[in-house]
Amino acid sequence: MISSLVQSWLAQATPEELQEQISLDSQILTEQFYFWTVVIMWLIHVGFMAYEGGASRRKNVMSTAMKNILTIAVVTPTFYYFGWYIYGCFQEGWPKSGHASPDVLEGFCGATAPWSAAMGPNLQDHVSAVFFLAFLLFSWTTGSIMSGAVIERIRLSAYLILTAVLGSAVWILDAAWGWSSGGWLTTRFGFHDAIASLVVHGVAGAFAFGVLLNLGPRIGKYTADGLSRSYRGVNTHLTLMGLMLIFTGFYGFYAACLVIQSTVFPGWLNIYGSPTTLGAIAFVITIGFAGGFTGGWFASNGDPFWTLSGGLAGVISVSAGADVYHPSLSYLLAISGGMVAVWSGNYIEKKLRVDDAVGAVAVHGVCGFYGVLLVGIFAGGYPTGINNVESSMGGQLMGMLAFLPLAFLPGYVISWILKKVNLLRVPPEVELEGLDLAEFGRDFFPEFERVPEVIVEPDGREVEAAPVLLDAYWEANGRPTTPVGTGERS
Amino acid sequence: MFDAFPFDEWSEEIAEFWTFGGANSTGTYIMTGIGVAAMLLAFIGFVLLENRKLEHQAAMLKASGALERPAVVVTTVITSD
Repeated sequence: MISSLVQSWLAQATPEELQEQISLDSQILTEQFYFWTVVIMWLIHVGFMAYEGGASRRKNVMSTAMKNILTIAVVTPTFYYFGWYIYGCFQEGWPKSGHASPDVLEGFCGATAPWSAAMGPNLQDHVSAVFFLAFLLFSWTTGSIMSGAVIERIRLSAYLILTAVLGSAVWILDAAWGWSSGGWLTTRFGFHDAIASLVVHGVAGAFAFGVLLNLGPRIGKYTADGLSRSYRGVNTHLTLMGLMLIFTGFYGFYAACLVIQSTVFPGWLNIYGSPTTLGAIAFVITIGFAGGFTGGWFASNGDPFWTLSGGLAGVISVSAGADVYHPSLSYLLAISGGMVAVWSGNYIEKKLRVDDAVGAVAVHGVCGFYGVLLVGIFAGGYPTGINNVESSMGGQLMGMLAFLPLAFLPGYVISWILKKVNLLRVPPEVELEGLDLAEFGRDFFPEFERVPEVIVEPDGREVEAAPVLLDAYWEANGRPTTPVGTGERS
Repeated sequence: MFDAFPFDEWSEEIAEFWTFGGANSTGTYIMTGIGVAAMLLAFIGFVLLENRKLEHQAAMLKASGALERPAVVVTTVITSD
């Protein structure tokens, strides 16, 4: 019935009416597209919650999950009130670089203020709201990347402050500089990070590293000789399922990194305004997972956690050039990325003695920087952005040099301040007993018998945890920190 | 558009209708200010509420003595020589 009505109307329509209709259809297509990417990207957060909850010990599962849930509660308003404005208005940097192209989206800055016509119910604007929402989901993701690294000892409120800064200020400022059509790093230096290797993952990893230096390891993580122990998470299956959900959500993330323009060939642009296709980036992400799993498997000698984390690392390593890489090249680079994640993860844990509970600094941080470096090697000469500046190793290094301090320093400084006012870490007594009892007053597995917690010694022996943890607590005299890099308890 | 419904005129009238006034109006500025204040209060609330819970639990655990190091028993053997 409706179909015949539409056909009847089309037969009578004038060219002007058809033109208007095509324009409206194009906008509605864009609106639908971003809406569904937002829905799919929610899975990333379901995945983060399952992943980190499974990696936590029984006594900390709910406090870990609550971090992921409340990330949404704090990053959403901060991003709405401040973050989006930063993206819209700080692309040229400060002081202004003066290298913006006249083709940069005019009036975008004003449209990002929370009181603008683009930020509310407006029947004449189908795109602004869903575009904002896609970026908001990127912000949740960036904030959540840190959350796994700091589990089981950070205060929930400290985490929420830090994730709001990371998700609504740090990452979006770096996105304005290097992940926008008018960003000075791209318009001036040809910086190319198409699907956000560095601007999301690398930056979140560097920020998390700064936080971890002040937060210190969990009680009992290192022996008096500085050797690393391992904890047994409550449910490794849940962790792996969480990772698979993150991977599913990544397809929405990848798609949302593109700009759809259905009335102009080829229909898709990357964030810099350069043409690409949805198929190209879907190809790269899929083969990137395959390569990453392979690299992670071999580098970790078949460890399940690192095999799946290797998949994530592989994709992150090829994301920066996902719009230009050949699938075979993506496969090879993703294998190397999976391996880099395992090796750097072990180095960070065992040599630097930084207790990153889920390897986030290695997987996201190291591989994020690695990904943009690879573009300098393998995609040099590609004309990036609306000024057509060629990608180069120099441009990529410029981006890395800009983003490393931009990410690391706020994480380090804010966590240092929180530490000084004793609001960064839970009291050691609470950490020993478990955060769930202090935060929520109950055990969340009432139907299961409580069995003694175990811990894995550096030589691989699994022993009862209580004596080890109590000994570490007594040795630290109630102060749970271990100086990074020394292996000696303070 | 379909002739059966005056969509064009209708959409012009309500395109930017928001509660408390349209875009860039005093109403939206005030609503934004209230929203920012609520957001900041929420942050303060998160910190204070959690701090109270953690301090209470830590004090309870310390008072229970469950985490205290066991006293070391020193035995001295006195011989008659």
